[in-house]
Amino acid sequence: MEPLYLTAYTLTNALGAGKQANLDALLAGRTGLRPNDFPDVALTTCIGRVPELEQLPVRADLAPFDCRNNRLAQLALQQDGFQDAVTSLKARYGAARIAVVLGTSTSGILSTEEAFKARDTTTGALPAAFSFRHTHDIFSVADFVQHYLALTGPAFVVSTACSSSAKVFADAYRLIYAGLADAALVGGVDSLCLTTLYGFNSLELVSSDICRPADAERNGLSIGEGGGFAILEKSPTAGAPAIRLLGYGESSDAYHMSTPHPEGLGARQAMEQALQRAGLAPSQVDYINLHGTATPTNDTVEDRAVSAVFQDRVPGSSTKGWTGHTLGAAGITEIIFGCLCIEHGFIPGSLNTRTVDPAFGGRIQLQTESRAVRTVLSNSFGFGGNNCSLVIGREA
Amino acid sequence: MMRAYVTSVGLLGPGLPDWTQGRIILSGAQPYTNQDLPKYAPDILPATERRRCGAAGKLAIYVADAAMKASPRDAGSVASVFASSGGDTEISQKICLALTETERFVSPTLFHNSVHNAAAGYWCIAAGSHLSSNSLSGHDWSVVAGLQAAMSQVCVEGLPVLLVCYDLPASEPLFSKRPVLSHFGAALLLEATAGDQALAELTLTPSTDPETTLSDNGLETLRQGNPAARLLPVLGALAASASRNVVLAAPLHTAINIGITPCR
Repeated sequence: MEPLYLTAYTLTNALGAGKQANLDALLAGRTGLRPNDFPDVALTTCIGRVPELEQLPVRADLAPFDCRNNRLAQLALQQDGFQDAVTSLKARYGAARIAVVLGTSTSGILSTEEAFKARDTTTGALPAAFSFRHTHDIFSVADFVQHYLALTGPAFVVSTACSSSAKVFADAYRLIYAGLADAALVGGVDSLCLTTLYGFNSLELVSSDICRPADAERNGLSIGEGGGFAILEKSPTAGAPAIRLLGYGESSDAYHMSTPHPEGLGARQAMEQALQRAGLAPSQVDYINLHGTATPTNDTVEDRAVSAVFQDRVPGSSTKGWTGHTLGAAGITEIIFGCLCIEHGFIPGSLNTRTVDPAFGGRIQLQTESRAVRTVLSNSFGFGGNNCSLVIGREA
Repeated sequence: MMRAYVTSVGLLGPGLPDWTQGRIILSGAQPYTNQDLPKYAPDILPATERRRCGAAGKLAIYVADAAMKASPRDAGSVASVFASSGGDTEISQKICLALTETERFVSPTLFHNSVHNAAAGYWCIAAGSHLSSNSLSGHDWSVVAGLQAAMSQVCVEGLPVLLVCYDLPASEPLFSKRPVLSHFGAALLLEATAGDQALAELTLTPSTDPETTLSDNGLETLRQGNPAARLLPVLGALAASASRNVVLAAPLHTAINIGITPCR
């Protein structure tokens, strides 16, 4: 496929705000997960929380957009000189030629949860101050980011559960190569809320322990929140690391709403399609960032798909042990981890994993290891059987 | 210029029971009267999935299936883009309500149906499609988002893509905060080349003109009251087999022009 460069990127999650905090935690093997202390949630589990959000309202002129999800978007945009990179991008292409394509699963639903708690006891009406459009609306985060950065190109939100912010790369590629934009701001934001904490809990997918991806005794996920953004352009920018999106693959399981295909058919198709677009053989991939949510079924099925494509030749790990499952932000978070691996030459281990499931056929990287990384494949799979794999690589 | 061919259409809305009848009305040959939505069932969904699927999914799948029935292509052989402002907001409302109760029990079915791509997930199961499926929102501009995403996929990947636009009202109290006034769903099968089936060629370009409105008051009310119904002026041109430029409003006071040229 045609070239598309990641000329700037940034991320914020339970490991901290910005690339350096994330890199430090990855290299030190320090998790961002902590025993659940989310206000008004009485569940025994670990969460990946960005605690400073409670004190950081959105910019005053955008006050109606104030909600946990947009606060996290704003905090992420403020790191790593990202806003300067957008300013320079606007100078090059003009605001109308920059697309904004972002992923989220639950958007600002926490605000609706709070509005329902505060509803009028006689009429049932929600508080007058609650604005659905600016908070919970699925488009809210792209609307906020467009306003925050004054970008006026094509804009939408992809919401395909946990593959959302991986698929935005494919959408941006198509918008740019169809000629609708010269560059794109992609990314995703998902924030903690009662809907996902209690919802995944009722599906019995949440671990009461810390999540242990690929472990023989794994028993569920830890939910986290996160946000990340990247700028995509047709040509590299001087001074930026020349990392390219080499391929993407998208597929559907057509099997079940919340359980993956038992043989990982859709996952396999997504990986094969991404490799095909990249023009790479499986052996040319240096590291696989697994979706690896740490639920018994998901990890088993992903392993079947990965070992069908790569056998045991390519080391893979899930980084959910650091951040928790950031749901609609998992795709962007983990592709940026892939960029950090390429830039700094390391493969992250599988944090919290004690004994790899003996039934696994793929190669799980247990310990973080320093080594040159040129090409990374990242998997993101969501409810509805929605799968996306991305391949990124350093310019030869 | 970005170009795609419409090869079939699915439609359901108040007073617009299907494309065959809707086409006559939208072409102006018969007057529009706002009527209750006819009873409809998405037959393509297996019975077990039909029981689990939410109201938004049923609406989206019904029009998706209608478009595919009007096409010689197999439903499983096309990629899909589902564009909806809110998806099933009624489900989010039920969950938020359950979370105010002491036991905070979120039904597993409600939870997995609450994702914005629930309709797309059920569609892929029903159609047996393993191809790419996307679910988008662009608030009141979701139709624009859907056209941008689906047409760019047709152009760049050369695949047939089924674009499904749908929105429906939530009940109170959420209704007052996001008043979607009616059910509306429409699906367009978009293809890269003009085969025998092509109804019209569509082009997409930026515009600075004011958005196109409808002269019929009933249809204009429908258009304004449901984000998915913003597709009506495009459907009107397809129905009339007329060469037209339709301007659709996009975020931040921008707009796009959809150029429609009939193929037969």
